Amino acid sequence: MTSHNGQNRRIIRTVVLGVVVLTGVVGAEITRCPIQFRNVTAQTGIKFKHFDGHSGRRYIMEPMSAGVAILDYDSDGDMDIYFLNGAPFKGDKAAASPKNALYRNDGKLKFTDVTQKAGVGDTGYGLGVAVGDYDNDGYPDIYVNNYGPNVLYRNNGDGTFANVTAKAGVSAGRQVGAGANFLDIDADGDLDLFVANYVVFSEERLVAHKVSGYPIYPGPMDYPPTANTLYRNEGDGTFKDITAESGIGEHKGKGMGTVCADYDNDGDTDIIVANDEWANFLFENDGKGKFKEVGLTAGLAYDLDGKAQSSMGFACGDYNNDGRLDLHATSYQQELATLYKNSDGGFFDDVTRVTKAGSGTLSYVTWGNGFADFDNDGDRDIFIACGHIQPNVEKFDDIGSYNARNIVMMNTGKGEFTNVSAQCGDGLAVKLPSRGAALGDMDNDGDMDAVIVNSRREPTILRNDSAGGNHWIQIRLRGVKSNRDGVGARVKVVSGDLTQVEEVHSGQGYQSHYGMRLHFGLGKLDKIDRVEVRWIGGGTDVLKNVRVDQILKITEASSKAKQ
Amino acid sequence: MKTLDNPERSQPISRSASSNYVRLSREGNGRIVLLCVLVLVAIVGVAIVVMLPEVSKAPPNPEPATQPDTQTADVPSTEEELEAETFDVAEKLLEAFPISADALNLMANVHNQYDKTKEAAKWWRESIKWAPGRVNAHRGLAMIAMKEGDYGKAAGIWERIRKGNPKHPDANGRYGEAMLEMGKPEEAVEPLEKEVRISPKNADYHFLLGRAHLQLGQYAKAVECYMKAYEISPSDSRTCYGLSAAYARLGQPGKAAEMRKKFQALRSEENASVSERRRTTFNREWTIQTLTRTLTGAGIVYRRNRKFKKAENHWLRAAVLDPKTRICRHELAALYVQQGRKDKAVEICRQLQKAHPKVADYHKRAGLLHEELKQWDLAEAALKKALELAPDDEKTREAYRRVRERR
Repeated sequence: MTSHNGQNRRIIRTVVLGVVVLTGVVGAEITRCPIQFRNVTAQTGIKFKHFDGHSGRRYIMEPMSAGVAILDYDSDGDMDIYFLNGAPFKGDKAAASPKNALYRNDGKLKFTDVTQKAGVGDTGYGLGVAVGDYDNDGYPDIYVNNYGPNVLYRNNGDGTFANVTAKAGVSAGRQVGAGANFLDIDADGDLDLFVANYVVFSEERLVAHKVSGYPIYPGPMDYPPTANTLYRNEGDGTFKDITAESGIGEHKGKGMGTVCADYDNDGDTDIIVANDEWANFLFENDGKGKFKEVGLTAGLAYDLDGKAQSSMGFACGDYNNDGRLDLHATSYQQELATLYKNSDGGFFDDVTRVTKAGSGTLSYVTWGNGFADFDNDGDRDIFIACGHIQPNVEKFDDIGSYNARNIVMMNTGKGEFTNVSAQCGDGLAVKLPSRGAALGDMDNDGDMDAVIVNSRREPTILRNDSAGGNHWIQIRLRGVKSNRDGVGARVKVVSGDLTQVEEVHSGQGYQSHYGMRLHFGLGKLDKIDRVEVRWIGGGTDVLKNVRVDQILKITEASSKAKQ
Repeated sequence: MKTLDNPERSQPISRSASSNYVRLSREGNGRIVLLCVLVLVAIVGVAIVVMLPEVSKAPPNPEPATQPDTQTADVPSTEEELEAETFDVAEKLLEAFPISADALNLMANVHNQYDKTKEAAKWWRESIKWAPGRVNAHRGLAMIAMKEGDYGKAAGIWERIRKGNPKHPDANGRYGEAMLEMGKPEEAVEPLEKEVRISPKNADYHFLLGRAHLQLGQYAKAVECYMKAYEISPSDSRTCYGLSAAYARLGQPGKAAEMRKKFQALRSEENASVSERRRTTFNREWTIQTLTRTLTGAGIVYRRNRKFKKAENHWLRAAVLDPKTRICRHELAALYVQQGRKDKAVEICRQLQKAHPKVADYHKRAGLLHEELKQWDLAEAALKKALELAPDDEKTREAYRRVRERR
């Protein structure tokens, strides 16, 4: 009897346990994070490895590493990748001559190194990159912001590029470069060029610091600030340096990531510069290419407490679907990656804490960033690349980590974010010293993937494997009167009661480039009522009853779309 | 003599929290901690000055005057040596008093300052084992949680402290701060309001309350709180920034512009200061200060345990390292007075006079000691200076009159 009872108890216990386990499994399945990333780097064929030129002298630009660009250089409809690389410093030699690399997307996330053929293997010390069709010939050109002379590659349209820096007059001397952007400052239909600079630096003047006996890299406050550069496109293949006359040159800072966006919705493009341990700049455009710095009055220069953060990258997007472009800045350890809400087109509010957008970022140095609707549910999430600047940080700081997980902040749709990095799949389990990041639909399957540069390491390619079922649309603009890429144009997508806006940007995040093809998640909405494009210069195109789940090309002034 | 609570109260900032330290990590919450530390240090300092003449319970057989030995005379040339000495001081203290919460706290503080947060947490937990009711170790654990961005954990610690002692200074304020960091300004208001009643002179809590109201869109209330912080600490750029933001949203552009201007001026000064210190000796300065604080704290623990000679040596060492540091000199002077070694006490007071010539109290204390030593000229000169700086101090006036009459 006793034995039977014991056996019964065991059976009951087993059944109960089974039910509990099963419930847990089902529960886990049900509560699976809607955003899933897979690390597919090893399968992509990409062999690029970043080199920062480290030689023990610890120059400040070494840990800054670089940004990355995604662009369709061969106009075949898929996104290719352009990686920047560092270089040896004066008197040093590298085992293999490092250079920038262009990888052609062959589809299905397989890539081929075409650097040699394309002729874009610059051997300068690459830091920032922007892509734009500056000569309006229909092919994207590449601008590389180096430590040392910069480079402009004109796309020949046949899979090759020509180095036209000297002719264009955009080498910008021997500065420490940072972000770069093409933008049309004066609505004349061609793309001008903004070039951010970091600090005044000399290899001859070494700055040596130690912590607990361990040598460390210096910081921006060890060097004087410097002004950024603005070039006006003269329309004949050359540019004119208008830094002084535009008002840009009046302000010295420690520029890093940049983004150009119409923050006040007045139809022209403004310039936003992340400064390292310095007030961020917001250069407001008067529409004619003259700029006034309004970062402080607009609430963007500092964080909530008036602290100049060590801002790294600036990303732009409308996180709360209120029709205004918000900004996200990455920063240093013991600072939160900061979300600035565009409150009324004139003021930004630091809403990092109340939106929980900074959750889990305090312990990390944060770099590349971007807004993207990873789960296509109709609101933009945030991607943040992480990694400390000191390779030996763990030896003297228990909180800092050189190799770090990147972060995904999922938008709840209710004005808040949840840090879902630990639930996002193996793609977010990668721990490397990440820097620049670019977001785009690399496999043309309707969701946003990610390409991340890692300092001194191979890059990370993340495939978005979020559950399907939600609808989406991607929009590629073609300017006719305005610049060919539609840079600066604003697109509004209305579907039922969901209205989203997005803008075409050249250069954003941490010294990177992405976002020429705009992406909108639509959730379960299977029809788009209206797509409205406001071009730089004032023209508007409207399309009605647009099909979902497609890459839509809209040509200016046609109000027709190639669906 | 009242026990000084230096190791108990003062929470030295960590290297990373000390903001400007070569880009390890930046100001962040460190500025708030720094302000708190400065206020606490000031309070402790004032308390010691007030106690200087209280000659009570002097040790029975005063030991002979200590000559600075080689240890006190040398200042290490490298930061690594300074750091090693700092850890050495903490380790020797712990060897002497292995189950002393004070010694364990000091060890934790040293680790925390050097960003060894895991070790620091270990020592603070150990300290809690021996003295569970003492707040210092809990405060340390909360501080680490804040540094790690684990605001929920920090809030939990402060919640327990404020429940145990609703009037504990800091407990409500730090709980409110954690709520703010968690993005819950509505839940931060009540504890911060309590805190400003408990600690009305702490600008930091008025500032945090202002921040809570700003985030709640209660701009008039935000101005009110920021103004209180501004009145207490007009050189805090954060407050000016908060005021400019609140005024702007209240539609008062003139006042907003005025505060922005003040903010910009303060920021420029801060930037210039950081740049200059970076270029020169900031690392060394920080490391020396850390060692000085550790020696001072260790000396206090030795004194509490009646190891007066050890205490004296530690304070002398701290005094050698930093010619301007006050607390170790306050302790030394108090010890010398207790031991009847007034000539040594007056020597320390004269160091303080020299290092801080605008502090009336140091002149006054020196004057009173000179008077006791019947050094009338020196007493008169010191008291005269004290009177020039604080003409309304009746005790000084009376002493000055007395000295002049005695002459």
